[in-house]
Amino acid sequence: MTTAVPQAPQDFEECTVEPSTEHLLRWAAAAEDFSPIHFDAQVAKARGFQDPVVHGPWKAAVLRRLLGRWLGPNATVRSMSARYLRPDPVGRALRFGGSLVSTTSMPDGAYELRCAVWVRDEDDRVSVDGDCTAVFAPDPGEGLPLDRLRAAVKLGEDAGSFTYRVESNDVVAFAKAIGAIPAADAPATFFAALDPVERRDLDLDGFLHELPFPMTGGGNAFNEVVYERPIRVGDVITVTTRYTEVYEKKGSRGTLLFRVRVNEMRDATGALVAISRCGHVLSYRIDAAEVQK
Amino acid sequence: MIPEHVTAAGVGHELPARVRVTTAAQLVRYAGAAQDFSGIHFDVDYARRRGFDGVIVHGLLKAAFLAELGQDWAGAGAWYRSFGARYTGTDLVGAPIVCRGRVASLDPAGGQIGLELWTENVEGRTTTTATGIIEIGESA
Repeated sequence: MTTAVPQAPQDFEECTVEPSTEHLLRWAAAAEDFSPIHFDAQVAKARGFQDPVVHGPWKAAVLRRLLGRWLGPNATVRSMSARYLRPDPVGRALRFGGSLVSTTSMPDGAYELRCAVWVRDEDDRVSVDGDCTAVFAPDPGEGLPLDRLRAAVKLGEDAGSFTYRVESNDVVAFAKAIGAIPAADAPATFFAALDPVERRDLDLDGFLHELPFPMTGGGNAFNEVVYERPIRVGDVITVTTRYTEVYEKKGSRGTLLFRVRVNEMRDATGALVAISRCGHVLSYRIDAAEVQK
Repeated sequence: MIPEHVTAAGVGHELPARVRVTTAAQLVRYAGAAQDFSGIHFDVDYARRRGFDGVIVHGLLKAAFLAELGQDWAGAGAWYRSFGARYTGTDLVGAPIVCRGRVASLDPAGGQIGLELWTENVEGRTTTTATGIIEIGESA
């Protein structure tokens, strides 16, 4: 199934619902909102209403359900607001509608949708208006969403810079963890401790863990480093990450997804300390997912 | 500049092997020190869901073992100009990791020692390969 990105501006297909007393009773029971103005005609009259009035949240709930239909299965509603502008008597038809106001692409390849929603009565008076924001995640399609991934990691561009202070305790803890004797020069593989991706300071491709394909493995494929000098206790290192390659390849464990990133490490004076490269691989069983459908 | 024991050993010399046996505690310690908290290194259930037989050793920890093997052999004043590792197989926590290496090149004038390094599991399968260029002397 392919669902296209909804393009703004666009009016949604209106839907007319005539709220019945049963609707209101069901809502009252479900929401535990037993205010008698919604089902007792006498109380409603005493309060100044001609007839029992429709619950505002019921109208909002209908709008919310329609949003799901309007925006399709790829959209997740993040927020919705509703303002109740006038009471609606039970038994009168209400029109539910709205429009897509804007579609904005986000760095990770998804889209932010902004919508306006409304409810109108038979005389076209607005009884509810509201706003909604939703996130639209494009279909992964038949295979891995490489284009989305390339956009998400800003392939070929600087993806982010982070500054880390190399404290004595950090180097000691690292040396102990690898069974080395701590020294002022950090161990050769200490560059890995200053990787914004491993540290989760830079997380641009988290959606790879939510693809509809079983993951059959994954991890680093390689690490490389070239030093101008060792990293030392007391260094203040600014690391700039750039993704240089995103590609897939068939392997014995399924489809392999490779991402290669380069970290440039500079000290407080701006002098280059090291450049590291890391290749990471995730493997997916894409054929099995097709069978499961 | 290059120490005498290295020159005497010459190209092709095999470094004394070292066996490392990891523990869950060591992997956690490494995860903390390297800020690498992927669950495949400490969470058995998660590792199995990701397709591994159990908790696996960080590739970079094996790389660190190999880098240390070369550094310790080269002796005082040695530092890596470059180092690279490829992970060709996974090692489960607790499984012995045999760390090996040999001298690949010597450049006495430039003070550089080239090393080839690798890890083997108990079946003799290579699970990590690495190369490194060590320099002897003062770094910038």
